Amino acid sequence: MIPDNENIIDVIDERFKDVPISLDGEILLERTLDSKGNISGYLTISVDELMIMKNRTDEEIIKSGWAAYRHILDSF
Amino acid sequence: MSYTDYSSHWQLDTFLTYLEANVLGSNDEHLYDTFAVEHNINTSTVDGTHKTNSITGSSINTTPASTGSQAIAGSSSWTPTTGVYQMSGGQFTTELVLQLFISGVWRGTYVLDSTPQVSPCSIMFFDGTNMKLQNTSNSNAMTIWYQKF
Repeated sequence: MIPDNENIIDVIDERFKDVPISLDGEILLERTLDSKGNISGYLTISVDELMIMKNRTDEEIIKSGWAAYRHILDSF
Repeated sequence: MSYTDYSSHWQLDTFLTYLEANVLGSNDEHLYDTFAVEHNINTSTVDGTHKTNSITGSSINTTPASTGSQAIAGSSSWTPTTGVYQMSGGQFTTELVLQLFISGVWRGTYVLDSTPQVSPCSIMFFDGTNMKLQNTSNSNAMTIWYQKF
């Protein structure tokens, strides 16, 4: 069972009202910014892919760029 | 407000000839030329298809609206906001897929594959919603450099 997580995009949730509906159900890693500080996009991952990432070693986590999102992995 | 359909070529020719001969004097010909060029109006393009035109520097603002880089962690996706992007970069150890959300399903194909080793250098359009780039490597992060026009 997938635990509740505030990073899961639920377009009904007021906090995600400006997130594309096609990303509904995915996990929001970050809202990326352009050089002017404006939102330039969304970095997301599916729940299935995230569960695969959970089994990685610390070294693999760093190599895959997931060190910054370790707290998200740990929350699942 | 009324709308005039200039899809008939002879009608446009008549209008432009009248404009040139009666409304604009010889000193104002540049206004006529500017009008025609700026709005890309002539008898071959007035039908709206523009099929005989190439997209040249005079048709777009060649100064990027923004530039930057985007790190995409392994197995994750980047959904750029609406715009036309020229992209470069990527790493040979990673795989990048362009995903399109069509009929409720994400559908994708490789724009960067680790075999053969090619790096993405392309121009792509994104609508900010139904188009995203996915780093399908779960082992390696990647960085994309882009110019947005």
